[in-house]
Amino acid sequence: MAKVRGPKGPSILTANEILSGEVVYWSGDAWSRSVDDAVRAGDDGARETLTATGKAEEDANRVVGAYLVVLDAVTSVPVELRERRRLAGPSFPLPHSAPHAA
Amino acid sequence: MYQYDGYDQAFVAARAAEFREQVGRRLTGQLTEDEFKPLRLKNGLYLQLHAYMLRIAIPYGVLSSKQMRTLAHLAENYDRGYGHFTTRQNIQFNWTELRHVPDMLDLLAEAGMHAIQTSGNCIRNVTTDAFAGVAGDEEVDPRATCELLRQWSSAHPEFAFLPRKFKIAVIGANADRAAMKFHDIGLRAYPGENGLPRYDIWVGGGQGRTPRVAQLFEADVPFERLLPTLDAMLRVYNLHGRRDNKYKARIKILVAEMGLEAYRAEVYADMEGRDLSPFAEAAPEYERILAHFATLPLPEGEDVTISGDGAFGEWIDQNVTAHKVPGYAVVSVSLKARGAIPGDATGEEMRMIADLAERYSGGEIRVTHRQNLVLPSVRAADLEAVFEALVEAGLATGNIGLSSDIIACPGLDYCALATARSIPIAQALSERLRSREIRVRQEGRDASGPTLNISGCINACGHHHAANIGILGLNKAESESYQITLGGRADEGAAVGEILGPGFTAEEIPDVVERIIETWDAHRAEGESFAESYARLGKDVFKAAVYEEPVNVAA
Ligand code: SF4
Repeated sequence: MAKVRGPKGPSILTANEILSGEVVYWSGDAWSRSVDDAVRAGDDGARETLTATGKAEEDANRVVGAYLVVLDAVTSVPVELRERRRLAGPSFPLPHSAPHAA
Repeated sequence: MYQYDGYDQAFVAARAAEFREQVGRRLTGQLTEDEFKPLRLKNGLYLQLHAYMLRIAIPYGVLSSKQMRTLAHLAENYDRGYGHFTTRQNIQFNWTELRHVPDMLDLLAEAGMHAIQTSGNCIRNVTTDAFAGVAGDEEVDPRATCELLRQWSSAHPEFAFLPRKFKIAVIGANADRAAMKFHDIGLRAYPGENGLPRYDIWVGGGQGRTPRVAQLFEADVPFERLLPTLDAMLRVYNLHGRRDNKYKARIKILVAEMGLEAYRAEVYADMEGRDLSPFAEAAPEYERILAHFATLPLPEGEDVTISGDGAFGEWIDQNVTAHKVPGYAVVSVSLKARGAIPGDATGEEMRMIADLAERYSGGEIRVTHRQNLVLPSVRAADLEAVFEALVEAGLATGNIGLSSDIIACPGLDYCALATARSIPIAQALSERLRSREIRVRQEGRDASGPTLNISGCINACGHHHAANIGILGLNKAESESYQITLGGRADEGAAVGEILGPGFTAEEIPDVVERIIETWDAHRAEGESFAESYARLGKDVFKAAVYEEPVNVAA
């Protein structure tokens, strides 16, 4: 079920791709891995359309967990801490097999 | 170690096949996400912040080399090359793709593993002392009890939909290396008659938003009454546990609300008149299981004393523990190198540990609730060779039990429920504390310090309540804020930490923690542990040290 999280403001639609689980953003006619492609809803009507799109895309089994992310109107950064972290990905290099210092 | 019998093997293979079919139906749209979600959770598959996460059960933290290689294979072929060992002695893969999960479960089933009951409101993987069966101070090997409980609780039809998840831990020594009193039910096994143990049963421990140390439900319960009593304890909980509020649904709340006496009376009333004949199987089954663990097919080793200087000396002091068989040692492998992510291991590291275990430790590995690994039976004469091999792999950090041996949950770098990050905090602290430990040791002083655990939200998977210094990440007005608790203990003196005061930013935490440790150092009586000093001093002295002078923020 698509749901609106947090405060109101310019919003983008996000979800996880059903097969890979990857974070994706709605570009207006398809899902993209890049937030730069995300279409922005600036008013209530556009937000409702995006929410409906999320629900339809879930029903079509292309994505799971669709919801709107609210952005700061000036900086375009997500307002919520959780969404900022989700957008940025893990905040350290992922483990790899080079030896660590003792 | 325990080997699946034909029944177990057929069961996990059938469950893997069933899940493959369910995924197929999901992908063709026959199952909606709402219908599929409970099914995937039954198989340990979560949707996290960035991706699907698969949690795999490691029954009571025991792995064979072959199983470790299977995990390495999964890490390298189905994830991004690494996995995360958890405080529940399990492993999680963070970047799983739904389309691959059926294949992963098939590979696990072939290796005698699965992801069943690693999620949902059921009895979860039973945990235990990572030194079970080998610890020098052990009275009863808890693994046979764990395996009996695994069989009793796996797919137990009555307990598949409990009010909330249910965690059981078993220990068989005075030293508690499994945080037993922080479990819904904790068992302490003692030697009993005819080779069958007796148990103290503890109930109502737990962490999360309402941390509680378990209370003694009944002491000295004979083996024959263990399963009937647990059955009744679960049944009363199942009936009365709060299903209306998930924050009040754990047994700790029920026991607190009913009172221990009333809960106990109801359990005994439930047991009365029940047909106990099905439980008659338990004793012969326990003996059959025990035979699998009557290991130590070890030839007596030569009783040599090993000591050394420098990094080897530190490793011997911290990571090597007495074994019950003379001439052998228990070796802990730290997954807490300076700046490392607690509990993470790459596929290559897993394979290397598997090889070392095969060569030097009877092909067996343990996972500890402090997110390290253990080679349970290494000949003293082989310690140097094991150390050298670990140095080469970057896994020779000699910090087991020191402050830099930090527990940290995945936090907001992975977890969908998190309120703040925990891993970068652990990394920064590890850098700072490891420097201190090396410096103090070089000065010829005792480098021991408080235990340090970090959680990324109030669910407390990082056991912050049970640490001498606990750190809890919170979201304050959409910024990360870290609350400190002091005086918690996970050992036999189990205690819940007390909140020190207002929270700190991530940048402030290393200085704050260092100041707490310095304050302890300054006030510590000879040979006193942090927990002992804290019990004697109280929190005011630490509070003054931390809040009265402004904390420097390192650039
Ligand atoms: S404590 Fe919170 S953030 Fe950490 S793993 Fe558990 S649920 Fe996630």
